[in-house]
Amino acid sequence: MKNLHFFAIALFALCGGFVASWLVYDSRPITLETGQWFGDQAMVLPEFQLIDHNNQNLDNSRLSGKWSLVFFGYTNCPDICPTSLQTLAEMMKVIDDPDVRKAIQVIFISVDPDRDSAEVLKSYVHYFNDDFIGATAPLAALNPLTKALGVRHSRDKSGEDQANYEVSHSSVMILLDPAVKFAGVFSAPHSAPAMARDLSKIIERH
Amino acid sequence: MIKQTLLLVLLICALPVSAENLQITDAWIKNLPAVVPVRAGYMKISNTQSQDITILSLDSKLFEGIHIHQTFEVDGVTSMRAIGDLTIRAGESLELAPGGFHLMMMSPLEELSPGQKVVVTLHYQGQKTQTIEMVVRK
Repeated sequence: MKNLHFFAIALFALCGGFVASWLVYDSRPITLETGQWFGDQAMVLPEFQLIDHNNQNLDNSRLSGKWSLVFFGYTNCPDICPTSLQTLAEMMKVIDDPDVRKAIQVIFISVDPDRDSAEVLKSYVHYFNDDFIGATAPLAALNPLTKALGVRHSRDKSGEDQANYEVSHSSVMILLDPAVKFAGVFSAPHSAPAMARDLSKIIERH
Repeated sequence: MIKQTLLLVLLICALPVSAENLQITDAWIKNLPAVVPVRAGYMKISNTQSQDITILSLDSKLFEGIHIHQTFEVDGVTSMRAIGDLTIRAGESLELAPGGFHLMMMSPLEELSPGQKVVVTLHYQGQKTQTIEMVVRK
């Protein structure tokens, strides 16, 4: 009888130990290979209203429910923007868990609303992936969002060519959680396999 | 017969690449949808000559203009700047690659497709030219 008691207590302790270690493991901070996870410091964003590539309103509520990977750029950018979008397209292919893939939406926000109409954005983002979303807004509507995200952008006014100007912009990729809070960043240079691993790590934990 | 053959061989050797040119390999153009009026061009350049070679300009029948640009990042902000003349020093190499030096190819005059070869002419200081083929990639 004593042996049975002892055995029962030992088994209970063992189970308790497993549960405790699982709980502790799950609350450890997430460390990313190629970015930074804000955890509890995820930031609520101001209400924003952009126009998507179908000329529909794109606001905070439309992004909720999925993890959003946001990249800021412009379509007349021949080098870094296509390269970044190509990396994001490759990242989506490299993620093997379909549930993780379904939980992600990629959004390209143009900081050049004068040239990047909905029609241009649609052709552009769909060149890389049919599910990517393009969006923009007049700078007065865009700037509160970029400011909140710490994303900088400015039109190069030094050239004389008014049609072929360039736009400087932050190269960071922004992660918004399903509650549309600013949850993390991925800094350049961007690696598709590393971002795939990082996103899988985050999404599988939530 | 031998003299004629020799002459022919010499002519053939002289044709493809002049001894004063840059060695340019893996030249490609990153394609984008037709609505976008710019493309980026990339290549590996090597100067195996004993003197510096300066590229003054580039042109192509399929683009309105081609300029050499450089992407650079300062404090997380990416910008581009135009590079005027580009000198490749004797014995040195330069790679035009995504995120760095690249050709800014303006206004393609026709829709490009993957696999298409685009002829581009480089104009060097000393009034020399070199013609290369760049392959369009998706």
